[in-house]
Amino acid sequence: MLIVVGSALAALGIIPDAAPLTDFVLPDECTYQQLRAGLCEAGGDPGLAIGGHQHQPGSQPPAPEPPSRPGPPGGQTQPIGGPGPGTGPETPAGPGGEPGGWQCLDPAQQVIGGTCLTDPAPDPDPATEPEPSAQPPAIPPLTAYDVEVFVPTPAAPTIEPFGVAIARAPMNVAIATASQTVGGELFGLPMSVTFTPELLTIDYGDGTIAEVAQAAPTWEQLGQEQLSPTATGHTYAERGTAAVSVDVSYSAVVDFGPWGIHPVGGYVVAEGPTTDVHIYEKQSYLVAQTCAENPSGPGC
Amino acid sequence: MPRTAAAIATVVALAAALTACAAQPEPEPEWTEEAAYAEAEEVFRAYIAASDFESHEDESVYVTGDLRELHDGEDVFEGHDIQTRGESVLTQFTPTSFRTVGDEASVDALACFDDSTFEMNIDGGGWTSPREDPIYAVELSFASVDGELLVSHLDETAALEC
Repeated sequence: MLIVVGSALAALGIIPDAAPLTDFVLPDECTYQQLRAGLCEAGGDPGLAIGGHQHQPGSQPPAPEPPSRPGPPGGQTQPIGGPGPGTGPETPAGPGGEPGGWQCLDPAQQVIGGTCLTDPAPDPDPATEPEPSAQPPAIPPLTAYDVEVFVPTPAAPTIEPFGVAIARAPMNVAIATASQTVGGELFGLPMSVTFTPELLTIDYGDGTIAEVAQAAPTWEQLGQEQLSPTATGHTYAERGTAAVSVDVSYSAVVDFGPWGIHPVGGYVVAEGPTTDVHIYEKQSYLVAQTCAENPSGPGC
Repeated sequence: MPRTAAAIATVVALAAALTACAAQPEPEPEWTEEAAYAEAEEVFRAYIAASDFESHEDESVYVTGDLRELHDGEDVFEGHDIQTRGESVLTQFTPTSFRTVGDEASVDALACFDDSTFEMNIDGGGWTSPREDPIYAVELSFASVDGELLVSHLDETAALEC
């Protein structure tokens, strides 16, 4: 959740400080109206929209936190002065004699200016927080986007035989997949999300893409001979180098503990790393002598 | 004679069976990249048209997921007298990825807006450009719901210079 402790509109003075626009909670989203109103500016004054945290794809999920009401967490700004003349109740000027205005601290205790409009009232007593069972939070239907930041990155595939391929002979792509559970926070609630692999999409790097269900075992695990066809194998037509990758599509369920287990709609796709596979060509010659015996012989 | 009749009956039955098979149309692929990109842009344009402050359309029909939740939640503009003038121009819409899993499709995109002429007058406080940077980029995601793409994610981004 992105906690907005001051809005651009309020900072620009077009909304009174006391207006309810100045302190509200946004998820990692903005409506188009909020975008136009400058409530989500990415590159703007950091004093306008700070505090809390925002998940970014590829970032580590945050550590679980106890459930809390929506509101400014520890990263919020802290007012250290009063409003200036004309903006609220009269208060003395700051220590340096500067005229009025809120002076705010960021989490590093640095003064960031007068755009912090957080209500200076202290946080409510945690003891008065409602019990989870007394006031269950409203958890919306979950989509793959909600949990994609938690999805595990697939391992690099194992290319058989020995990390290379032979033109016009079957190679095999193997990858180990298993259900994984990741802890984190969603909608301000601690939770764990369990990802179950459902589909593997193998890109062989030569324009061929195959989809297989759940598993891509090795030849040994299959009990097959090397260079034998498999469901996840492929035969390259010519030599060269191919970039092979395996994307894993997971189904997911989120366990919110006392608030229940919620399924996630759709699949979460984790893109796997790319592995370069050198494709060699095998040629056989029937010769009278070994290469050691006749280094200039065919194929030597 | 009975043998001839049986042969004819077999041929007729076989022909009928083949005709029945042929009558079944081949299932069309549910999504193509081009179609998904075109639909994504169309849906996004419809969404921003419906999101105009003066519009009385229900823009939430174009969104899903977290964004739908945001639309269904508290309206931060409620209770304020909002007037606008000028326009927001979608200057660029660039799809960046397309994926399908089974029957489901998703599209990611980047877009640019130019709000240089857009101003707001809130609660009679005077006309002001609400944004510090009137030219900005947004990141978008679309997800299919019952065969239609809907906007599932919208936020500003620094990943694109507009």
